[in-house]
Amino acid sequence: MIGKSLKAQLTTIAILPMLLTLAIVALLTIQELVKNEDEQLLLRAQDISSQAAKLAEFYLYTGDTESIATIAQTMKRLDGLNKITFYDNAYQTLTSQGEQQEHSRVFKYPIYAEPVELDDFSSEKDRANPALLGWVEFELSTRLLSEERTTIYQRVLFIIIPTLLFGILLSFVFSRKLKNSINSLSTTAKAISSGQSNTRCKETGTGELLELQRTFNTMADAFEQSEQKLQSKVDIATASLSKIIDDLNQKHEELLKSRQETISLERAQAISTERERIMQDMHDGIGGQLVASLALLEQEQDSELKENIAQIISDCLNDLRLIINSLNTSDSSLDHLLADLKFRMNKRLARLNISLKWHVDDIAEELFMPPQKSLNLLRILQEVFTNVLKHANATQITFSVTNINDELVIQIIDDGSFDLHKISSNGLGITNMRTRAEKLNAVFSINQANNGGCEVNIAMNLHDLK
Amino acid sequence: MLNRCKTTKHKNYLSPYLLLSISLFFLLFSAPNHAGNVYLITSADTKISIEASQKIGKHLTQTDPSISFNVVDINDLKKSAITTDDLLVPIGTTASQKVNQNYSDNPVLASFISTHSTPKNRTNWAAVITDQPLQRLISPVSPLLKHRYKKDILLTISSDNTHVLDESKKLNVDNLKTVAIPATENPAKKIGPHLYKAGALIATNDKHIWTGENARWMLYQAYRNNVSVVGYSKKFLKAGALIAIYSTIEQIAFTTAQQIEYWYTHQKLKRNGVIYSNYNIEYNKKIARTLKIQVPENKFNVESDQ
Repeated sequence: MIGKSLKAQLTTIAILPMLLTLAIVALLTIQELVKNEDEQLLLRAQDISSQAAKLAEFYLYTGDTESIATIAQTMKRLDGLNKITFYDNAYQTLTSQGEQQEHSRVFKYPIYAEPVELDDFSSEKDRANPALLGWVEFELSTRLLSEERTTIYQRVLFIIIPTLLFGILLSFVFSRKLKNSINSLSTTAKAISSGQSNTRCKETGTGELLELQRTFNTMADAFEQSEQKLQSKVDIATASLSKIIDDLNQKHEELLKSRQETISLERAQAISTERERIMQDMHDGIGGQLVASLALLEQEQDSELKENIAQIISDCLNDLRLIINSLNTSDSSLDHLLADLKFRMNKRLARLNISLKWHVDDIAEELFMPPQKSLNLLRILQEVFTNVLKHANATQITFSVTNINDELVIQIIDDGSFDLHKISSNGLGITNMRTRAEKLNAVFSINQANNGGCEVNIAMNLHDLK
Repeated sequence: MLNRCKTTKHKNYLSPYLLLSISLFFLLFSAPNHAGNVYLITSADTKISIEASQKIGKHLTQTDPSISFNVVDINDLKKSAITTDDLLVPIGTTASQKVNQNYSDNPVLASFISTHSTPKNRTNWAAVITDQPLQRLISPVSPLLKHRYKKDILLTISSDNTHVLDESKKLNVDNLKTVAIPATENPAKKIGPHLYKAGALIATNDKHIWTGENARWMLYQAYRNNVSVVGYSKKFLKAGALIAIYSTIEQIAFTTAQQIEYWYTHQKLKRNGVIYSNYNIEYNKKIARTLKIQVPENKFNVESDQ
């Protein structure tokens, strides 16, 4: 019966009591009208008789029939009065106006003259009674009442209908206003519950509703602030957790690295131990025998053969030392490697009257190479020097180590005879040098020098060496 | 140590009785010798009678406390031992009529009665009446009619009211027109033509003319014709009269008390016949404004000239 929407409910709540009240009032009014029909007719009759008495009493007292007839004529004009007759106190007809009609009722009233008491000392028994002057009789039409009733019905409707319409309009307007305010609250609450915590209710209501909207907005502000605080705490906690996880990862990596290093160390330790055993064996065994051979050879008479054998044994010892060094696990400084090479080459070069121009940049002191790489580089350089000594008939060798644009360039130039076309690119020496250069990740090149000699360049990236 | 000697006083029993005896002797022989008593006779059916008797008694006590009087209801009068020397003071018409019927030999001082209730065929009587003499009623009218074109003073009385008729003749006022109305005729109807020339209408205490419905229509006619009414009681002011000339209950009681005192002292009535009391003249200012008549502002108390 009552609508589900707030607007419908409010409208119904406002209108229903008003409708009921109006209906009851209208019903009671109509009922009262119907009930009092006789009373109203009687009241009207009393009014008319009162008027007739006031107008005619003096003329009844004086017996002025003409004046009474005039009064009757005048009163006949009253609405609903069909006939009027005046009688004297002996009930003799003085005058009669109008005709008897249907739907009418006859009323008859005596007309008394109220006495006036003028004596200050008169007793109650001396006071005169009202004197009967005559009678008035008249017929009242009952149609007048029904007309009046219709008029009153119309008036009641005229009052009720606009009142009802006005009530409906008012209730519609107010319920709409109320509904809008509550809808605004509801929409805002939904928005906030869906996560839009910055949404606020429009403060469009009045009175308590406006207060509710303001309170709601204040609550939403507090809720938003609380959420922001909570979010900031969550962010801090998340950051802290991330940091802990990062730390843990780092620790884990460090642990892994440490473990790997431990494994590598253990492996290196094992290799080192093995290498050390091999090195000791080679040093004490082969090295000892070579040294002993060299010592025995020293006791022999000088001869070219002796020199050659001594040289070979000495080279063997050097090689052995290089091999042993290459088995060493610790890195060797490039500067030391080159110095050792220069020392060993000097004797041979001096014997062949070949001068050596030696130039090494300071950077060589800062470069440390693992034993395997050191061995490869020394083998390449040893092969270059050996080739110069064997084939070039050179008088001078220029050896330089320079840093050019983060590249370590080792250049060996001799002033002997060199024919680039005669060297076999597939020769074992060249091939080994190229292979070793590839292992060093270096660029190896052989060119014709400006002085006609041979020019060998080995270029290595410094980053690979560090 | 506290014992004292008793002092004995001899009482003189003789002196109080001696003084009392001497006083009584002087009282008996110095007071007037009264042959009769005073009886204030009321009739219980009229309140005014009771009130008037109380006021007369009060005035008597104030004037001369030695005057003794009895207040008796007319119906209980027979129980009293009344002698022919007693003064009977009937108060009101009822009491007066009964006294006249039953006590013809006593001196009577009637009070609070109208002129037409005074005893007839009786010698030893006087009456303090409530009516006003015609002269009093006419006297304030003449100055008011000076500047009006209607100058007649109209007096309407019953045909049998010979007392007022005689009084009017004695006054010898030129513009006083007397209209005598027979008992069978309506005074208001009869007076109609006379009001055209009348400047004032005098109302005397005439039952036929100024009581009941006749009084109403007399006033109505006067009002319709713009005629000032001069009435003999205060109630006329409320009824629409211009002037009321009247004696109050206090004034009549005072006059009666004076007459009783005189009788008490002299053992005879001061005078026989009608006695008028002091009176008041009062104007209705609203009626005066309506009739466009200028009247004095104040109420007047006038002493009786008898």
